[in-house]
Amino acid sequence: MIFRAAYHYSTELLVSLVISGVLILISFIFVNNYRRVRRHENLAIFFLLVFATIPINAVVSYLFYRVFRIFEGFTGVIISIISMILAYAILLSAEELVFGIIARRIWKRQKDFFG
Amino acid sequence: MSYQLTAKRNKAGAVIGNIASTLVEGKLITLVRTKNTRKKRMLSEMMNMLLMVMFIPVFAAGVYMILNHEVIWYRDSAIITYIEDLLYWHPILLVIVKWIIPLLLGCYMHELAHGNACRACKGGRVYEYGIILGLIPGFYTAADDSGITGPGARFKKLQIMCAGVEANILLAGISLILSCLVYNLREVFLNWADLNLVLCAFNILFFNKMDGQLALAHILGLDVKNGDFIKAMNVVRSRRKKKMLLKDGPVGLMKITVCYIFELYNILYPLIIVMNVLIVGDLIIGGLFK
Repeated sequence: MIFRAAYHYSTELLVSLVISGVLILISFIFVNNYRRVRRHENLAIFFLLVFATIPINAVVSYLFYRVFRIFEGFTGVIISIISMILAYAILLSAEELVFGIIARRIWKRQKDFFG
Repeated sequence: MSYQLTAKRNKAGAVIGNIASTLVEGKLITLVRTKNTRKKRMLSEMMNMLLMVMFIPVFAAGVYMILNHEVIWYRDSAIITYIEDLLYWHPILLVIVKWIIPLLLGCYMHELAHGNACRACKGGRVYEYGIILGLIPGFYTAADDSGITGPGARFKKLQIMCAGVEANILLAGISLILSCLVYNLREVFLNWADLNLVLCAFNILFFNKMDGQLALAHILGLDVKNGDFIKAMNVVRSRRKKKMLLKDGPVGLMKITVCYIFELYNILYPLIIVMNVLIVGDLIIGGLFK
């Protein structure tokens, strides 16, 4: 059902994907060149990705909202809102993990979080 | 849900699991005890390598086939028709095949993948698999990855944490491919794929002791055993700690923001329970929740 919904919003998905992709690329370039976050690159990437992934995550979570409106009445509204929040959180987690691993591969020597 | 336990054996030979988090506190029931022999280690290495190589291509192939509505095998085969008739013969049988089998298979493969990934690394030991009966019940793998050292140890530990999710993605991919191959049972296999993706999605959230949070700990350099996540929670509540961190400049500001994000993720935990109750209530009881 989510794939069917994705067909209806394919333009929005594509535009948001491009915007997020560009923002993520800018984040990596920024972290590479900004000296004050040296040895804390993963932390900086984690922080910047929260903002860089807003476009794509917002569109996809809206898709989940539309899909979960199949439940009727007041319960349906609550379920669709919670599913939207959860979808956003799950997407953000996945992105943080994937790009976190990439960042660790690029910058191997880093300080610990409370180090 | 799947939980990772940092386990050790005591002098009497019993496994001591350490669940520091109060959120996942619950009764542990051991299902399988396992030994770490050389043969098992070799088998684990092979299976772990296979999982790492296969999970993305298989899932991508499954999604491609579904999106292109490819029907490879759609004919009235006697065996397939017999299975189809058998499934739709009784609703309980359909529920078992559609929901219970994929759920158990998904959990089993998830924990097995964690165990294999841990045993595949030199110094990694797996003790047992079992069930946690808590607020959200789930399965666990009692493993000890503290012996994994040397170059690349961080990525090996990351693979141990991510192996479960990879196994669920692989199973979802296989289910998607099967839904196209055996078109008569498409609905059943799509349900298998759905369930595996849901398992995968909830496991990567940054909750206490879940796979996602433990993987993030390795990425950000947080020591779970030293209670770094609890320290991060304390930063949110303490003005003095925030002031101290702000002295570090932009890095301190980022640390505070990250601590707030961890706190926000913990708020999601009750939301999942509310959503489960509402959906199950809506599906089973119907009008009562409206």
